[in-house]
Amino acid sequence: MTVRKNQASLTAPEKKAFVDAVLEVKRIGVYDEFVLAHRTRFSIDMNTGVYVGHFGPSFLPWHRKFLIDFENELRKIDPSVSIPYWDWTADNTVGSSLWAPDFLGGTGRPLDDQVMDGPFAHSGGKWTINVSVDSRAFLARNLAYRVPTLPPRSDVDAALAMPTYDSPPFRDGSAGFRSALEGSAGYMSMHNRVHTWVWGHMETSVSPNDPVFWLHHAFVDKLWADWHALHPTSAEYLPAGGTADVIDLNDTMPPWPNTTPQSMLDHTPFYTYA
Amino acid sequence: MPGPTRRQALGAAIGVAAGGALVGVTSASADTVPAGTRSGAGTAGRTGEPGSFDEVFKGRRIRGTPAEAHASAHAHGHAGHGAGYRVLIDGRELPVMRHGKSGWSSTINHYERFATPLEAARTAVISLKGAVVVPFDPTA
Repeated sequence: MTVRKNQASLTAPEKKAFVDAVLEVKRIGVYDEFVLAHRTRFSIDMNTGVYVGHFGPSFLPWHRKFLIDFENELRKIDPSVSIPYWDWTADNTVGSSLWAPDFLGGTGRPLDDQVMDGPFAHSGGKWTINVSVDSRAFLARNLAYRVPTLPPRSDVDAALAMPTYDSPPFRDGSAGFRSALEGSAGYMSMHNRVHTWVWGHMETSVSPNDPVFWLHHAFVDKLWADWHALHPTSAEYLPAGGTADVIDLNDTMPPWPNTTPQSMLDHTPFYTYA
Repeated sequence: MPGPTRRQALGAAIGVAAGGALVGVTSASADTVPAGTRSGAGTAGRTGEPGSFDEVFKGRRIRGTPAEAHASAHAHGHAGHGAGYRVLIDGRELPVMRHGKSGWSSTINHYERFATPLEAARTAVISLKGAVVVPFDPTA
């Protein structure tokens, strides 16, 4: 059974196993397929007005499936590995062990935001950016530069307290838990704010180029599970059907042929949280 | 009117970083030079649509123009797609997107919202620190 743990509680061997699996998935070319899928989804979302991966209710089930697929690739390399989650309300400084050289490495240098330490530094030879929207071949970050603080726990608790999953128009600014958690209900808040706080590739449509993407989204996914536990009588997902340009409960989510929000509501067949 | 430097033009042509002398300088004051006729770059016009802009920001030529409404844009009437406005950084297209009332984003800054495409373009320049945009549109 796959158990996702708080990154702060990982042992040194667990960190090394995760990093090694990520590097191997990268080496064999599979990692970049995930970056490509994310870039493509964002671009289609931009150009069609049908919001599948972002800006709408299917943000949460789409990313849940995206992480399950990636986790499966890691476990082909090492069955002991799972995606850890980063609770950015608690580990909320640039001094967090998350950013140490034995895990994800730290912030970028001033000249070009290039990450210079850790396993994903370009200078280490194992992490070249191949799928992108700009010419940077190195992983870039500038922690706490654009926005100085990560979302506080009070913001998370306020979102978790909302009894409604999502509401019309099912877009940026919609009332409800999904929009509050995604961060589209307020300027630079929640999920969106974390991307912006990390900066560099995490701020772009090719954000999975930074491995912290997976730890960030694992925590977002855990908050969805926490919300569901807090509101057992609320509809787990909205809208239920018949909504133009929006993924309804039983609509198929591209790029997968058979994945619907309904099929993603229960995470426990795939993994549990420690 | 000052255009892109030779080095920038060459860089844009061969796809290497070409940020010019201001790469790494984070001061935002006095390095924005109007490079043409600007009409309502920071404010909505009578139609509520952003106007065009053309300027040099931190050594990079940024331009924005409202695109003609055309039939290839999806027919559902949502403003949430990039077909309505075109942004160029040193001649290379930066895809932008309007999110209804909450503002604009770009492929370089996809998790922020900007009041205007000009702000999206300037922020992309700040993010790139000399790197160049590589256009990507699977729906083109």
